[in-house]
Amino acid sequence: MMIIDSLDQHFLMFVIFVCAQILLYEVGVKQALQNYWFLGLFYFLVFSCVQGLVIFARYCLIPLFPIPAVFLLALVLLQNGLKGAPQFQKKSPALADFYLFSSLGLGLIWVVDLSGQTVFVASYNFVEAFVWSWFCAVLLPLLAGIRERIEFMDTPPNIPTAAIFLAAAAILVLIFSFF
Amino acid sequence: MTQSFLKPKAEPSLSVGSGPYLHGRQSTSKILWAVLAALFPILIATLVFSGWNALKNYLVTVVCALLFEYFFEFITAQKSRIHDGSSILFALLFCLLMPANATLAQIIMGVFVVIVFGKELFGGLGQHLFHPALVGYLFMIRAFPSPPPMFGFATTLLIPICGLVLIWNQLICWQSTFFYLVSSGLALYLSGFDVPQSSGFLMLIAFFFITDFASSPITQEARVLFSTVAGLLTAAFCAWMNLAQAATAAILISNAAVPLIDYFVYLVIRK
Repeated sequence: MMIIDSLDQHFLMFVIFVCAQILLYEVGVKQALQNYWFLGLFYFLVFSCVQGLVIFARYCLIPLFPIPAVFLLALVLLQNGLKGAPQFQKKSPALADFYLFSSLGLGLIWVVDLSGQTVFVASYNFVEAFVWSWFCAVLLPLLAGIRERIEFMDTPPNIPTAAIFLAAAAILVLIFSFF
Repeated sequence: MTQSFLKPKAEPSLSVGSGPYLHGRQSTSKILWAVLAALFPILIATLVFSGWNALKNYLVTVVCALLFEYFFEFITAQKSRIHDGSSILFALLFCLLMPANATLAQIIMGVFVVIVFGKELFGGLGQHLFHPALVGYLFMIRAFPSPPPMFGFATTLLIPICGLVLIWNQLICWQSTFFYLVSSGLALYLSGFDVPQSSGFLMLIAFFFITDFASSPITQEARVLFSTVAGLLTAAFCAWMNLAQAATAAILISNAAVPLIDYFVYLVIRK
């Protein structure tokens, strides 16, 4: 199964990205769950953009390596527009940075993932992309919950909580490596 | 650094009233020693069936667990808690999952992971996120091929008896055991799995692992949901791996989801 193979290959990369996101933005369970549906759809949108770009690049015989750079540039340009959007203004202008971070990480992961495959025999289909997106969205509240719980623990005084959180994430990676 | 938009606007105030407080006769340490006492007949039975190799493993396990805990607490300048019995319990549970012919190096390595990465790193007793014994077992089955655990079919008859004694004395939560056994047993039976053959491992998990208070949710409703999810995941994961691996992965994933389950049940109850 393609989804399982991809999980095996890129799960570590994805968990590192989600951990960085959680530590940087101090995401809690409540906030992660509030953003869950939107985040799932957003990941799916990012995936579709990357998939489209990769297929376009291969069809036009453009080398793949500039694509992350193009993607990054597009999102940085888009970010200022996003900050002015009413929904982001209502919640927080920093939300745009959060989604930029998500899309960058996911974009890079998917470009790396798709770069080894041929154009018209794309291994990912619509359903697989959908499953991937929602699975990615589930990891955020899961790890956010762990971070929040660690904050309330009487952890050893000379070990930073971020290190303990990363150790917990490593255990989670080890569990998922069964697949 | 971007200002955190995800932080709550105002921290809820915590009010703690002055004493005197009510005290029961039960303590965490007493509960752990009682669980250890309940585990004792199972350990003796494995000695009968697995021989002196098992005894050697148990002795090394206990000594290493105490040493690792003592040294970790010494290095991190914490008060020593080796008297509470938790490290011995988790290490022996880990040893029970290991095969009788495991080498001493494997046992020592596993006990190190159990005590340091499973328990002490998260703050010790009552703080661990994942069941420490299963963290150690997970490490061992990823590092080495996983032969069958030390306990055999004959000892599986002892597990429910010892577990029921714990439930009778209200030392473990019966709902967790019941819902784990029902959900995993039913799902495995429906998927055509040989349930009687695997009943020993399932019962050991149901009585001694899923009932761990620190890595379980807080409320009773959440515990029911937690054990049901763990049972269903155990059965689902059997499609990819053997039962021991499936149960380990299922319980550890459920442990990771405990904050989410707690929050979900809190939302439902509040409504």
